[in-house]
Amino acid sequence: MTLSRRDFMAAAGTGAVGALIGITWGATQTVDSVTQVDNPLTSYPNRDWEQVYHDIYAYDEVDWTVCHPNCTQSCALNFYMKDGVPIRAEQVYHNEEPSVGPSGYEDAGVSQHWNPRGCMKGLTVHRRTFEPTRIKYPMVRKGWSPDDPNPEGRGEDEFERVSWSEAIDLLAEKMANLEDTQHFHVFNAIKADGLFTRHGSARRLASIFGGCEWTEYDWYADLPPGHVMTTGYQTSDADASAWRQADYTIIQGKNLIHNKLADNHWFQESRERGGTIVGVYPDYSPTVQKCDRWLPIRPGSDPALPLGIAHVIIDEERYDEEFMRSYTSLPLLVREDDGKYLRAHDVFEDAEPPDHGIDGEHGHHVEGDWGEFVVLGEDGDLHRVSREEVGEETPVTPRLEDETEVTLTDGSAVSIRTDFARQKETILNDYSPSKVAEITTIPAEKLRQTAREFATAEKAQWFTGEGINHWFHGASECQRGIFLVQAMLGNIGERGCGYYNYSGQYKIELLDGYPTYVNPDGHSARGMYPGHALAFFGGERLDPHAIHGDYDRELELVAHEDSDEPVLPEGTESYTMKKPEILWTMNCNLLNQTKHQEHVIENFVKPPETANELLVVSDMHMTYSARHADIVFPVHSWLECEYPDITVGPENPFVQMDHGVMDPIYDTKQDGEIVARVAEKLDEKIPPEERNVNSYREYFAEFLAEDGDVRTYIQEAFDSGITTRDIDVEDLENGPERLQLKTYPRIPFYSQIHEDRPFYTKTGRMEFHKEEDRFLELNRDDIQHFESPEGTPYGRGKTWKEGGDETNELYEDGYRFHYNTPHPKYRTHSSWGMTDWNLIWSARDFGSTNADPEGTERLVDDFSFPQGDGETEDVPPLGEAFVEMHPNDAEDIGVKNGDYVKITGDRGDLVIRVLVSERQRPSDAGDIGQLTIWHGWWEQQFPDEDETSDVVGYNVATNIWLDPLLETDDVVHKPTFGDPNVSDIVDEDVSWHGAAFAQGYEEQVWAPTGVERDTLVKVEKYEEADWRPGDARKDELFQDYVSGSIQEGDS
Amino acid sequence: MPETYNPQLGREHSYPYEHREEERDWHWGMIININRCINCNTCSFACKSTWTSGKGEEYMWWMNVETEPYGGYPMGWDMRLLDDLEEGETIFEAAEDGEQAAGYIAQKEDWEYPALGDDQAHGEYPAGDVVESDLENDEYHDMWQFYLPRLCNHCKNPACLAACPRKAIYKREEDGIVLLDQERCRGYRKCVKSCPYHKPMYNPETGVSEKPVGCFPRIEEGNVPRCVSSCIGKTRLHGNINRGPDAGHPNGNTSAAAGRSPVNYLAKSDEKAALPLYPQFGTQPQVFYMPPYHVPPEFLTQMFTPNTNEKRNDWPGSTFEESIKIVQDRVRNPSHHTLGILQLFGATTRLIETYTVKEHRVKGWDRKGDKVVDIPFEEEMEIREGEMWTNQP
Repeated sequence: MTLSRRDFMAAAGTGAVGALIGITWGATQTVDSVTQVDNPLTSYPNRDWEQVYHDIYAYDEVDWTVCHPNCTQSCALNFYMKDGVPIRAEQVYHNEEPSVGPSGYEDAGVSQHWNPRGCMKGLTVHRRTFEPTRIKYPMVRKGWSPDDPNPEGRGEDEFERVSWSEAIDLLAEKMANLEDTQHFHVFNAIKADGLFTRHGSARRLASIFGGCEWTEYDWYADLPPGHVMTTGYQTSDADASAWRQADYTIIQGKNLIHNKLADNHWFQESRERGGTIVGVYPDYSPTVQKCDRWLPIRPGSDPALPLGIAHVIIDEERYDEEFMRSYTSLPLLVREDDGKYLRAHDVFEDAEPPDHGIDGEHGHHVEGDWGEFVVLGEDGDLHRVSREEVGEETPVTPRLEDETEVTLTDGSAVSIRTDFARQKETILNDYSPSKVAEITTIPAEKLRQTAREFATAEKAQWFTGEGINHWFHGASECQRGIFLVQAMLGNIGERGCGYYNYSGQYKIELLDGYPTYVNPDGHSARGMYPGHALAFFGGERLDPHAIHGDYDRELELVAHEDSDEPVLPEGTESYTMKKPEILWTMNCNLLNQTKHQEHVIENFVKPPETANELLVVSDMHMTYSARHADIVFPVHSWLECEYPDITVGPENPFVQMDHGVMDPIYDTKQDGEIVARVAEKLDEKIPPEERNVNSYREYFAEFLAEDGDVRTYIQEAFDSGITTRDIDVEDLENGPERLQLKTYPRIPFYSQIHEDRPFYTKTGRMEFHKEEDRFLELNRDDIQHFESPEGTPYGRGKTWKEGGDETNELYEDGYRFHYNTPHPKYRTHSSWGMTDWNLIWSARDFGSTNADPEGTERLVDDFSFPQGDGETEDVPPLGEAFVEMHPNDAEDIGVKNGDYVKITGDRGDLVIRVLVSERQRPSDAGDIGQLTIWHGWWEQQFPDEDETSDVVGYNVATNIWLDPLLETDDVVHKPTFGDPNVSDIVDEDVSWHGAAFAQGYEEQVWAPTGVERDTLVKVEKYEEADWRPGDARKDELFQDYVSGSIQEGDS
Repeated sequence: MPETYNPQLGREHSYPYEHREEERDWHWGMIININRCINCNTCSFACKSTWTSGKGEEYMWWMNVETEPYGGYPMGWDMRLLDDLEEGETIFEAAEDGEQAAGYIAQKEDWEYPALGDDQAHGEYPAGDVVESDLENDEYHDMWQFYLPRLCNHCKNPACLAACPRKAIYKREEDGIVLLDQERCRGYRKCVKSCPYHKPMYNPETGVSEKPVGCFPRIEEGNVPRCVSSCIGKTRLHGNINRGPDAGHPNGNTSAAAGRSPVNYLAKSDEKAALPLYPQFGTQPQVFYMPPYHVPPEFLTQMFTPNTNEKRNDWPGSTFEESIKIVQDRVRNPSHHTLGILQLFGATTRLIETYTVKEHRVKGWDRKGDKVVDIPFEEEMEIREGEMWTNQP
């Protein structure tokens, strides 16, 4: 077995890739006489040799598992095994040979339209498994000791190999000695994969131990809070199979064809069925080639676009009044004096004010009592409307537009307007197509045409993604504006209609029995509030009403002590303010992927004052994060895992279970088993009276017991969730099943529109005017466009009316490029970053099988990976990072393809190769240009010439912004698990039975999304290329080629 | 030298070997809908992981996707050959004395960058303007790119076969797949030089050349090639390109539909929607592309038509450029029948021999006559009874 693995590595591993170097390309000189064959076009005499290829193709057996990185898609794949080694992966089909593994998706009750799934990354999971970057055994940093953490040495010290029991003992000892268990933090980027036997187990440990958990949303800003503001719901995403029903699609800042590889076809198929696609991007995103029309937009001006569309719809009265009256806040009356929705008890003597006041109590499980609302009927009288009276239950036909004065019960008079009248006034005054053209640089007549077509379409959908969500106002105003358009047109609750994001692996709510596992017996880890994290990193007490993130790089940063009281928000118990003395990350490459990277490394990771005494990283690979760890736990690849695990995703209706197909090749363990062993050790070290629970071990007994079966945990969670209660975990071994939801395909707000259930807002309606104090304070109660706090040539943070004539001083200083870091397709974030074939392709013009010799030598040094005891492992150099830059801008600074440039931002600099690229936005197109670096490069893929900082990577120039709009606990929403509309109807053994609303902070739903990339940079030439890739397309012949006249030109 | 009739050109030209009098009953053929291609290269990785992950094969991507117009593997392969050919001249007619076909051997550095130009676009940034296409009004994207999946065409006039001095390359009788005999080859690299698509490649470790095998071990079992079954963009359909409208039931199985194969329909019917890549080379390639409908037809005319002034073949329109426009429109606005065939793309691993398209349903049968696809045009909407269900649990 072992031998054959070595054979495999010699034959197919990365080590062989450099083999072409130095081998001559001359043909062999052997000459044999040519005989026997008559006409090879019609027959050939000896075909026995064809067996050669049958042998290459042959396999012993097929096993299957699921590839589920944070691309969010989760694809079952068959692995073809020879001598116990996977030689290739293939997609599964409906119960077909040669898919002898799972049943495919047929047993999940879907059609063959879902076939096939699994992209090029899935097809190299086995190469990734055998990669030299794998961590082969547990290690401890030599400079670290439990009493003297010496964090300055992180990232530089060598590692020492230790045994598993030693490594686990070190962590458990440290945990047992914590004065306050809340100083134990896990970061597992709650993703709806790895739920039970991977990072979900760490959450379970943090819950029973009394620790804290950081999540992806809070840290990485994937999710769209504008959805929560408008609908009270985390993210309104449909099954991908609903996409192709649309007659018209606007896709804004989302490179869907490359980031939803397996599901993209549903999107594209809408065109074959008569649909139109309009793309809105600053650059020629690869998705543009699929669009019928591309509206090139000034980066960061996105919130203005839906308002321009809304202008046309309102101005030309193309809206659906019935829908607006039934399902939106637009007919509700708003008081002009305080900006609050008029309540029934304001004007009706017999109406009772809500028990606990309109703001009620913050936190989870608040009763939905925010008073009754008021409309003006067609009869001109005031009528009360409760939050349950929506849809056909709306008691009267309310006026959409009115402006009048009403007498309150105390006898005073107050001016009121409908929500619609307010939005309409702003939009008609400030966002005409010509005004929006000024803001966005999109021609007014094309905006108007697009708006008319969109409004005319029977079914129209709108996509955004992280390209928008990570912009400061993209996360709020832009999304609210899109919802306003969709609500005015009634494009909600039907197949092919809606507003989607699909950003992040957040749809944990689809597995609604999950809390049974991660929050057992009422124990729940506290959330980590990113504002607090930033306080550690920023060394300042945060003013909750200010924008955070506008630091310059010289800022002296000091670490903070614990806060006695929350910076914000107030009154909720579900998050922590305790600093991480122990931080254990798993399932993520936190330090490579963090924005404002230099800041994080230099102010959090390395300074002793942070008191972050133990950084533990569980990883498959020697990532940037692992290199900075004190203790490194090596984990299995998906192919090696010993325990099955569950995954669900936002674009598809499947619940899937992965399991390994081969034995581990190194001394690795699965995340869950590592956690279980730590728990076991805690029982030894902590006396029973000091424990939070009777035994930590017993919560992980199935991992540890001889006859244990972790599927028990999965089944228990399934049994307590309404989406999974009829699913038998054993059935998942034969293939995916489908979640039990209201509809297939899943359609957001189907019940709201078809069954008149309230939205999860205070008003029970899609809510456009926001009455919460923070919105009012910041002048963001109604929907407007604001310029970015940094990424604009104009007045920073201002509306166009205020700031359109101003100039951003940073821009005047030469910072004339937006810094764009979109998700790559050959990697998922940083994973597969060193997998040979993926790297060759992701490096584009700078990726090659054997590269230039000089470049090769340098890169070999850079691509080495520390192993225990000072050993390193070299990897063949296959590719380098690059930045894409428009030819005009490249010419301005005198750089050619392949030269190095230095990119300077307010927060850090980097040196990187240039790929001259016509698809980028030049700085002379509407004043601002764009530089694009695909996200997820590894440190080794950057040159080491940069002396300005030890911190190297694409993220040194990105930023962490905190938007004060999001730093409030006033916003009401549906909790992750449970639907207040039906929480009393579901059986009592459903774990969320009786769930009420949430108000304020909730991990993965409502929090300041700590990471917005909105930054400006400048760029200058750094150095000539040491070698350049070939480029046959730049010679004169190319002009004939591209114009289609190459042969005419020749004749 | 024998003359052969080339229907893609609508004329006869020379080819070193006589064709069989009758066309094969079964011939390997493929349709690729470029409009659906997303350049994920899953096909490339599928092919490489199946066939070329050994020593000396590191640079070999039998299957690769190029971004037009800036990509090219090997670099600039088509531009150079087009420039060397006189208009209206096949590579066989342009061959120098002592050679069977015109061509060149790409150098090591030409093979060096398989992802060169990946995802890049061509054109001027539309400052203050938009990019759009409107086929009815002859409007196409003036800034553009498209993805061109490239593989061995298993040509009916294979240049590699014509050029091999050892006759080590042959066309299989049963399926038309062109194979290079690994035992007989001596590494002269004449095939490497003459294939205009540059798919035979020399292995410096073994000293012999290799060429794509059409996934024949899969074809023999009735499954489609790896590049087809792995295609998550559902861009591909594979099957019997020779199965015309008069063919009977597959395997005599009367429960299966008789008549033409779906690939034959898209490549050869009156509603032809797929065209060969550089037919002017004269090799009769058997991969047919549904052209990108946003791209200027001048460029596509050069790429997918014989590129002569005189139009001799049976393609729609009075000129080749007009043919391209008509086909672009057929792909952008497919008929119900074509749309039905598009549902077969990526639906099954099995090789679809025949099919039917009804109003709401599409079906396909394999070579044994077994039904392998039965698929509605639309996913059926299901609404779960009971008040407790939510779409947002």
